[in-house]
Amino acid sequence: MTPVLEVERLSIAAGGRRVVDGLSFRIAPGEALALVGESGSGKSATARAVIGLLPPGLAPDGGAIRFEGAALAANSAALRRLRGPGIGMVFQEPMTSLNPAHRIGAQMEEGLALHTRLSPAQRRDSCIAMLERVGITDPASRLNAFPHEFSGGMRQRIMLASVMLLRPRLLIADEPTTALDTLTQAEVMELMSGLAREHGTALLLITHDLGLVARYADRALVMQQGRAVEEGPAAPLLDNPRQAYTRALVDALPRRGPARPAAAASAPLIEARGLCVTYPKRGALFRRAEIFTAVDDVSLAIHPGEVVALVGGSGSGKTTLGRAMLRLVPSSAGQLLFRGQAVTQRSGAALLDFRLACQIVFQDPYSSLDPRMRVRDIVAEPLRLPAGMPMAERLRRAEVMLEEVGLGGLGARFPHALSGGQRQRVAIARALVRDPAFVVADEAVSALDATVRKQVLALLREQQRRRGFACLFVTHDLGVVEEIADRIVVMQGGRIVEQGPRDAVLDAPAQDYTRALLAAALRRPGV
Amino acid sequence: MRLRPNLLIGGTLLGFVFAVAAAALVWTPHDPVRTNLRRRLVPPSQNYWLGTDEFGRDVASRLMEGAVTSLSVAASTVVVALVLGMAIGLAGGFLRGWTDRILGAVNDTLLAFPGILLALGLLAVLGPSRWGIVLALGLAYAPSVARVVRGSVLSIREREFVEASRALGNSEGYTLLRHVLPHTAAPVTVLATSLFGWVILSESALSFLGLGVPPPAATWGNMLASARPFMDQAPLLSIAPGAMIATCLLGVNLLGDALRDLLDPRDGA
Amino acid sequence: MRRGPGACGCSAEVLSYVLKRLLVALPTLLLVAASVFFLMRLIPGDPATVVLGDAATPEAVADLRIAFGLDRPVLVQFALWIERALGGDLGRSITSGEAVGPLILQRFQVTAAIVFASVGLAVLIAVPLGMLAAWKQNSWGDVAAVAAATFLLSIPSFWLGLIFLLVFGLWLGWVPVVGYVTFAEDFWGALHYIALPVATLALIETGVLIRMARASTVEVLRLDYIAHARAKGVPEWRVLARHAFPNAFAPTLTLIGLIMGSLLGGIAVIETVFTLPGLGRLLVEAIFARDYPVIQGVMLLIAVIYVVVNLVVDLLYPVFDPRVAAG
Repeated sequence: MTPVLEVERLSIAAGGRRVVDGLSFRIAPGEALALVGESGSGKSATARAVIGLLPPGLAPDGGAIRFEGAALAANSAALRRLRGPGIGMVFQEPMTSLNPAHRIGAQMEEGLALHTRLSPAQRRDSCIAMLERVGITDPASRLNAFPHEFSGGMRQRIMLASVMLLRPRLLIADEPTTALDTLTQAEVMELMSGLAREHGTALLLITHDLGLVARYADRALVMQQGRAVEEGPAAPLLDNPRQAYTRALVDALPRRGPARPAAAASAPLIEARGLCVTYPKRGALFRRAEIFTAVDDVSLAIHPGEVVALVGGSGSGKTTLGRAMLRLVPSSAGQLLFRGQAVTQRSGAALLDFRLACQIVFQDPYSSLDPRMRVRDIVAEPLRLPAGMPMAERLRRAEVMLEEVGLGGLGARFPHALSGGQRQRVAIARALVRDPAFVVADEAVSALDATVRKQVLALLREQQRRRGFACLFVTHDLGVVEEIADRIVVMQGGRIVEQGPRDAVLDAPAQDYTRALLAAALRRPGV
Repeated sequence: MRLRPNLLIGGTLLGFVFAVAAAALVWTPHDPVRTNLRRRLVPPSQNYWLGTDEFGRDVASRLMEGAVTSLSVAASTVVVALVLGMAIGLAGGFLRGWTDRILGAVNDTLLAFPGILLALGLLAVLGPSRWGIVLALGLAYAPSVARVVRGSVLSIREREFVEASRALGNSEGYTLLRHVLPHTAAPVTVLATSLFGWVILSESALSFLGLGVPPPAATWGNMLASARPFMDQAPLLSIAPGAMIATCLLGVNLLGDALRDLLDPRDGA
Repeated sequence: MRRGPGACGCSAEVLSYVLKRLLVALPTLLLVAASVFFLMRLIPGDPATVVLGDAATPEAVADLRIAFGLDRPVLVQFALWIERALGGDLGRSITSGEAVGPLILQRFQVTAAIVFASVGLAVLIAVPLGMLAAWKQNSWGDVAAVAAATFLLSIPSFWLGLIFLLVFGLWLGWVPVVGYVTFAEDFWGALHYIALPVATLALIETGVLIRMARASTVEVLRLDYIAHARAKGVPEWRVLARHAFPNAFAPTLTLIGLIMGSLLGGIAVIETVFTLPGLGRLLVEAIFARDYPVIQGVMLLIAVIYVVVNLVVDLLYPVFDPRVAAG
C-alpha cells in the first residue's frame, strides 16, 4: 500500500546549521506516528516542512517528501490545493491559531469554500455538525462568535473541527495540547484521535511528551538534535527502549518514590484558616463590578519538613492560594498563621520576619530572573536581608550555593546566557540561599523538557531532604506529584475538594474530580 | 542584519551635523550676522561657499551657526521633556492610586492636543525666544515621555522578577530602584532619540513661522522663511537650510531604528 | 471567558464599548476647553489693556473689563465662556472685530480639505505598499521601500513644499504659486491650489505609514493563524487581504489618528509656504497680534477635532479587532 507520507533523507538548515539532518520515515493510511523529542530536536521544523510552511530563516536542505506517492514541491500551486483536503494541521497555541478578526463560522467555512462545491447552506450545516461533534454546545449560534469568546480548550476544539471538516488524509498535530491543562489536554487528545479514526485520517503527532505517545500513537520516532534516534511500534519502544537517549526519556517519566514516614505530630509551620482571596471582575458599564472568588474559605496546615502538593486544573485557585500563603496577594478574609502567630495583618519589620523565612520558585524561569543582573548577584541578593552581611561574604555564599545546584563557575553569566533548566536552578538557588523554612514552588518544573524536569525535580528533592524546609508544590501535573509529595491537596473552583497522604489519594481517590485528574495524568506506562 | 547600515549611515549623518556645529563654535568663514548690502544674493564662490542672503550675510556661516542653535535648543528641550516626563511618569507608575489618577488626567488632557499646537499655545504665552521655545516644546513633549515611562513602569511591575524581589522581603523603594528603573532605560533611550528629531523639526517649523529663535540669530527655520521671497533668484538659499534639517532628521531616524533593533532584539530580523 | 453572544455576535459588548468611549470623551473635552481657557489667561497683560492699547484711560479699561466679564470670578468666567462656546459664540476678534466662530469655520474648510485629502491619499498608497514590503520581508524591494520611507519621513514638510513650489510652480509653471479660490467658487481651480500642499503632506505621511503598516504586518505574519490559513490552502493574496490586513491595519488606524492630529497642529507651516488662508495661518497671525479670542477659538477647534478623530478611531477599532470591545 502506498504510504500517505514518505519522508526521505530530509534535511532542514537554519543559516549554516542543520536543524534536521537526513531524517526518513513513512506513515501508512490511517496510521498514527508520533515524532518525539525535546526542544531543539527538529520535530516541529519537520512537521512544518511537510506542509511547506517553514518559518522564515529555515529552508529545506535536501531530501524528498512524498504525499501519496507524489513528490511535494515547496510553494507550488499543487501543494496549496493539497493543504486542507490532503494535509491538515493543528497548531500548538490555541490563543493565536484562530484569526481574532473573523467569526469562527467564517473561518471554518473558508476551507470548504476553497476546496468543495458545497452551497453556502450546506457549508453552514457541515460546520454546525462538526462543531457539535467536537462538543461545542449550541453550535448554530456559536458560529457567529469570535475566537476571543472561547477558552483555550474550546479554541483547540474549534481548530480541530475546522481542520477535520475537510477530511484530510493526513493530520499534522504540532504539540496540540501542550498549552492546555491536564484535564482539557486529555479531552482534546481523545477527540482528535477519535476523529482521525472516524475519517481514516493518518496522524503525525509532534510531541515532547512520551505519555501521549503511549496512549495515542501506533508508532513512534524519537528525535534528538535533528536526527532519528530510534523508531518502532510505540508500546515496545517505550517498554523496552534500545537506545540510551530513548531510555533517558522513558526514565524521565515520573515514577513514584517510596513514601516517607508521616512527620511526627508537630505544630504546623504555616496554617491557613478560612482563607479567602477575591478579585473585582472588570464590570461592564452600568453594571456593578462582580466579585470573583479565587480562593474560597480554604484551611490548610503545612508541617515543618513536609512536602505538600497542591493540585488542580487551570482556574482552580491553586496558584492564588500559593501566593496568598506567602502574602504576595492580599487575602480578603480568614487568617494566616506562621509558627502559631498570625501574620495576616503584619507589616514592616514583623512582615519582614515572615518574608525572611519564606521563599518562592516561579514557573517561568525566563521572567522570574531580572535579565539585567548577573547570576551571582541574583543569588546573592536575598542575603542583603537581614542587613549586616558584608558584600564579599554574600558573594562567597552565592558561589557556594551555585555550586550546590550544579552551576559552579557560571556566576558571571546573565540569565539569557543560560538554558531553561539552568535558569530554574538559579531560581532555586535564590530561593534556598537564605535557608527558608517554607518554600512555595509554583509549577516550578512545568515549563521544562522531560529530561531536564527530571534533573531539576531531583535537585529540589535532594535539597529538601537536606535542608528540611516545608514545601507547597503547586502543580497541575499529577505525575510530578508522585515523585515528590508527602501529601496531596486537590483544589477545584477555589475550594479544597480532597486531601490526604500521597498514596491514599493516588490509589484510592474519593472524588470524581481527582479521578478525572488522575486519568488524564500522563504517567509512566504500565505503572 | 539591517542594523549595521542604519547605525553607520545614521551615525555619519548626525556626526556630520554635530561636527559642523562644533566647528561653528570656534570658527565660521564669515561673521554669520554681519550684513553687507552691496553683496546681496551673490552666487556661490570661493569666498562665499553657498553665496549670500538678501542682507549680504554669508549663507555657509549662517548654516553653521544654525546647527549650533538647532542642536543646542533640541538638546535642552529633550532634557526638559525627559526630566518632566520621567518625574510625572515615575510618580504615576510608582505611587499609583490617586496620584496616578490625577497625574494621568492632566497628562491625558495635554495629550489631547497635538504637540506642536500645544507649543504654539504656550509660545503665545511665553513669547518667541530661545528659552521660550525650549520651555514650550519641553512642556509639549513631556506628556509623551510620561506616558511611555508610566507604561513601562506598570508593565515591568507585573513581571515575575519584581514579585520575586518582593517575596525576598525587599522594600518597595529598593525593588523599584534595583529591578524596575533600569528596565525603563531602553524605552526612554529610544524615545529620547525620536524626541530629538521631533524637536529639531518643530523648532525649525516654529522658527519658519517667525515664532522661534528671533533674528538676527541664524536658525535653519528662519533662514528658510526669509529665503522664500527670493526662491526664484537664489534657490540655494531655500535648498541649503532644508537639506541640513533633512540630513539631521535622517541621521536621527536611522540611529533611532538601529537603537530600537539593539535594545529590542525581538525585532532584529 | 465564555459569555453568551447574541444572534449578531457580541452586540451588547460593542454597544457598551461605544457608550464607554463616548462617556470618556466628554470629560476630556471639558478638560481641553479648560486648559485652552486658562492658558490664555496666562498671557501677560490684561486682555482689556491689550485691546485698548497702552494709552487707554483706567476708566475705559474698567468699562471693558466689565463688558468682557473680567471682573467676575475666574470660574464663573469659564462657565460663561463654555456656555457661549456651546452656542457657537467664541467672542470677537480683537483685531478685526469679526465673530470668531464663523471666521474659524470658514478657515477650517481650507485646512480640512488639505489634511483629509493628504491623509486619505497617504493611506491608500502606504498601506498596500507596507504590507507588500512585509510580505517580501528582507527582499530587495522591502529594503528599498523601508529606505525610501525613512528618507521621506525625514524631510521637513515646509522644505519639500518650497521645493515643489520652485519646481512645479516657478520652473514648470504647472500650478499657481500664490493665492486660493474656494471649492464653491471654482472647483477645478481650487484643486489646482491644493494639489501641491496635498502632495507634499501625503508624500511625507506615506513614509510614516509605510513603516507602520510594514512593522505591524511583519508582526502579524508570524502568528499561527496565518500559518493556519496557509495550511488550509488559502491562496497568498487572500492570506494577506483577509487574514493579515484587518489585524495589521488596527494599529495603523491608531497612527492615522495621531497623524491627523500632528498635521492639524502643524498645518500653519504648510499654509504659510503655499499662502493658503487656513486655520493654521489664522492661529499664527493671531499669536503675533495677541488676538486671544482667536487663539482660543482655533486651539479649541483643533483640539476638539483631534479628540473627535481619536474617538472615531477608537470606535472603528473593533471592526478590525473585535477583542477590543470585549475589554
